[in-house]
Amino acid sequence: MTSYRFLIAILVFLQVFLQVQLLGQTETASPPNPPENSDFSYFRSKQNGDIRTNEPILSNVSSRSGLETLEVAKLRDILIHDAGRVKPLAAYAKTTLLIFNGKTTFEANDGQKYSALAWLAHTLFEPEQALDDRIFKITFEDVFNALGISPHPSKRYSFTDLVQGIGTLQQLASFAYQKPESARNALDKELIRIYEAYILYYQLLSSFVYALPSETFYIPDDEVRALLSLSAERSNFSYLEMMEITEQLSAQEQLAQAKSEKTRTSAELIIIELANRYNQFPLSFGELPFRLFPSYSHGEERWFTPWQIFALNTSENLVTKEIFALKNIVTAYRAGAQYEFDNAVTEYKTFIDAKLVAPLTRTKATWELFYHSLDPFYHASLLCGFAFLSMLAFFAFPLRTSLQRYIKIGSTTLLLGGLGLIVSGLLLRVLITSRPPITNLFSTFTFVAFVTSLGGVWLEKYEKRGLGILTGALSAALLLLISNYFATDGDTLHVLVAVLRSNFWLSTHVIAINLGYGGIVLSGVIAHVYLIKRIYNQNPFQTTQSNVEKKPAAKNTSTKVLTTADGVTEREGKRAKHKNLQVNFKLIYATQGIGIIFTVLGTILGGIWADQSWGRFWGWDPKENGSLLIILWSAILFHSKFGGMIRELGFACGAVIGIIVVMLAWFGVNLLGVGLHSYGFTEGIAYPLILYIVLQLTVLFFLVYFIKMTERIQTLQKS
Amino acid sequence: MLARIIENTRLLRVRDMIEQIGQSLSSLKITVGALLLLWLLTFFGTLYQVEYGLYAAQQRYFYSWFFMVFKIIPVPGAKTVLLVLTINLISACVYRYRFEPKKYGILIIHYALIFLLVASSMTHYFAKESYIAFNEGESVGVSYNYYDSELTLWREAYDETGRISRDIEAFSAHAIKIGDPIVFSNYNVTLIPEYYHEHARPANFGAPDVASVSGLTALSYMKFPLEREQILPGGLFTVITEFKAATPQDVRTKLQSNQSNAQAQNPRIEYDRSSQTVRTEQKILLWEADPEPYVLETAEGPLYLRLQRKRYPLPFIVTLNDFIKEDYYGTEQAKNFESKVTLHHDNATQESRIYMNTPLRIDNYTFFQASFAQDNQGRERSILAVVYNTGYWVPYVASILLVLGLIVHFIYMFVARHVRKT
Repeated sequence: MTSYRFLIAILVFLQVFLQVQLLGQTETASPPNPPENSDFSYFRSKQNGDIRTNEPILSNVSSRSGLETLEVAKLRDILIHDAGRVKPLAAYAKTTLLIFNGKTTFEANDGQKYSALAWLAHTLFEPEQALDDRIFKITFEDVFNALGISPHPSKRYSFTDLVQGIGTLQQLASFAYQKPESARNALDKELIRIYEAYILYYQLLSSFVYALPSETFYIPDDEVRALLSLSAERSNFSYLEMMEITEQLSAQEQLAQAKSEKTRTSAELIIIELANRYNQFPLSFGELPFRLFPSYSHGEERWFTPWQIFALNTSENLVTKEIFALKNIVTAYRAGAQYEFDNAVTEYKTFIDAKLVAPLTRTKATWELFYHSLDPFYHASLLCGFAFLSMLAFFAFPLRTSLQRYIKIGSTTLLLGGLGLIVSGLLLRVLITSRPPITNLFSTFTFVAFVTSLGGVWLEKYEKRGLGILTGALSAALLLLISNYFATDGDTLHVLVAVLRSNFWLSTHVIAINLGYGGIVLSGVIAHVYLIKRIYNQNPFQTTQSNVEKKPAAKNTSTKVLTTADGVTEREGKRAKHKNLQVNFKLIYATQGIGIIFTVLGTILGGIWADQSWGRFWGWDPKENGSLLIILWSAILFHSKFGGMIRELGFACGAVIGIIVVMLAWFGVNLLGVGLHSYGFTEGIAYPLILYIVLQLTVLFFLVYFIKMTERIQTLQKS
Repeated sequence: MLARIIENTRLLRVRDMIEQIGQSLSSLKITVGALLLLWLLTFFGTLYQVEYGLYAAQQRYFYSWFFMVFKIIPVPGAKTVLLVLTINLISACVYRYRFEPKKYGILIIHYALIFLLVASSMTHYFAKESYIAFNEGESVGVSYNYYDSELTLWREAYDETGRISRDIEAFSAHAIKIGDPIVFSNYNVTLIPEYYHEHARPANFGAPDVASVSGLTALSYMKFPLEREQILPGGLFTVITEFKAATPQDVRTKLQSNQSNAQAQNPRIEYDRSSQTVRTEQKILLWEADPEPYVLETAEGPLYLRLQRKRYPLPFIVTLNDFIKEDYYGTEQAKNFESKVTLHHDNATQESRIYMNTPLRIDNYTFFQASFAQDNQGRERSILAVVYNTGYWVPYVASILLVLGLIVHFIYMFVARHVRKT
């Protein structure tokens, strides 16, 4: 019976090994193989078995799981190498949990909420309990129907649920893999996502198996235990425990091997098999995701998983103490012993820190943790949102002058705070990645939010009418909200695709283009305000003297008019309004100008970069066309204004449409899925984008309609 | 006296007329109209790429004077629009621009634009884009056109040094017409195209007597190749060879080697006793995706027949020493692609590295790391883009001018603001 189980266990491990080899090549059409689907006794048995009693006695032993009892914050700055870079464990936990759960917090089956780090520790150190965690988010009805899972209101399913239908899942996923990427529909992508998540989860579960007593090393025989000087009280042993007695084991094995096959005793046979299993064990876990141990060789820093270390099988194992420190962490966690746990983590960290070679690794990890705990862009979006709302109140309601001043100061402070957060976020990104602030689509939004909020503050410095604050805050808040949407793939600090690996071009071409986006978006937002003001200023019912007296600030925002309101005649009031509108229009004009200047600059730089790396200055690639669309649109606006074909109203409308053009160029072309700028492809934003365009055009239509109507009423009244 | 006055007025009129024409050519309405049209072309040309690929979009929208929408409405292509814009710009420079300090930046930008438009259109006509694809250890002396193909026929001979020399006779695929014989006079071989598709893909309704390298018997027409790699022409040709043979017995011995050629169907052989010539006739399917040339057995030994991308001779021989694909450590994500090459150039050799963002420029030739491939045996194949361009500096000069204009304008804006304030 045991040997049968053992065989299956070996099979499982071999499968994992093979499958991980395959998983590396996600580009290929064939899907990674799943772990052996028929048998999970490997984890199961421990749940049912006598694992708690088997473990060494520690202080404070708790019968509950480590998830509930332990504070794992100490783990947060453990370094791991993942997706091409070193990062703190807390960051890894967050992005990994997102893959499964779609959230950054974990809700246990009893409804209790835990941090991502706590979840990761629980999954790694208590795999037998993590089997039943509802963690896989599956929203497609077709998927769980196909897998034979009964739907759950939380839309989250456990590993055990998935195991039932894993054969089907693999089949479906492999069909999806076979399709070319462009032909995959949402269901295909979901299947692939779930399947890959399933395999990743399996890997996480197996990551620390070496520290746990295992069925593989099930030794019921007292004689054998005595021979190998193992504890007589238990029958299951961990790989590490076997490693500690490796000398005895090999000595005993040699003795046994020396005998002829027929004369071997049962104990000797067991020992031979144990030795076999011991040698096979690490080979099965070659490529697990946990690269924990840095090592400097051949001029570069490499990171190894514990399993790779075991597989190296060197007699002078250089990281033994680190591995045992890890094991102590696992044991303390499982025992729920806080003090021992903290000690083991600290000890482990000191060991690892001594091995770091590449400069600033630890410092960067600290920065990254700070970046994650600060969450600058999220908080900045809140601040900017509040700044916008209070400015809206400033413009929309007739308020007392003193109150107005306070509101304005308050919103300016909020916006400045938001700007400060955005700047610190961008700076932290630069420090962590050693790259310019824009490296992916997510960071373009944060950067443009920076540009528009800075532009808003700058405008406010010159024009002092609250307009800059309003528009800057609105655009920054919206852009940061959008950026959030593009951060859902987890890590936003990941390594660059090959062709982008040039700090020079990233910091010139990309920055210039995004400055251009910022200018034109800001211009469009100001144009909105201009159009609204125009309706209001031309409203014949509100241009009478009494109205000017009653609520002057609401329209004009000009405190000057307000303070002298008593003495203003109707004509003077109108003139002031007209001047106010003029200033507003000049802002549209200026920001549009800055926008086109930077877009041209960025496009030219892009052309030169393209000439350097692809051999042609211009090739009508979608992204190139996108920037051309912006330039042309802006050029059309300026030239038709020069030529008197449009007036201020037309220019303002054009500036509003300019935002649509920017959005099309910015991420609309990414939806096409063609072209050389393939590193920014996105899906799932088509509907929001179309919705936005329709909404924008509708709003524009009504604004113009109202302006025209009030104009007509005015002329009628005059006549 | 009178005559002089008349002469003067006439001159005046002509000058007026030119002035008038110039003025109207420089109209801002033309500018705005052309810009709008270009905007639409760019927009729809981008959308078109999704379905039909970059190449088709370029040909239809951007490299055309006119094209048809819905097959009946002619629409000016980007070439026409850009030409109009250029004329408009030039006449604006002559007749409309006033030289005020306020406008200096804007003027420089517009002059730079004229330069960019004129010069890049010239570059567009004179630049030659091609590529080379080679395995590690291989050397090439030619680069291949991305789009154009040619039929080639050659015989291989070994010179004293043991190197293979090929005397290639080529026929441009553009000139292929159904039924028109293509004569390779050096080798006495005639090809009569039965059908020919510029973009072909395998089909399964061929006649059994058709021979091909890949075992295909028919090709069908592919309407829209999405990528330029998919532009694979192919067709069916009746191949006729003629040679002298004294007796019918002689024919048999001379064609004996045919038995060893597995890919060949038995050709129809005719022997004309009076002129003592043998005429063989067979149907051969040639496709550009064929992995190797078709071997045509003749009395003088094998001939090689192939439909391939048009070749451009390079003034040097390039050897790929090593191709390196570097991944980010611990991931499968590419970090860098690099080709280590040696250039043999007039008895001098030069070692170079070609990698991301770092091309090799030599004698108006530029080599870029464009792509790579790996065959079944794991051999790495590097694909370099080769651009021959005498005017590759043009966009750089235009760019510098443009940026200069932008800077001047920007500075002016700030200065003007400052002046206005003080």
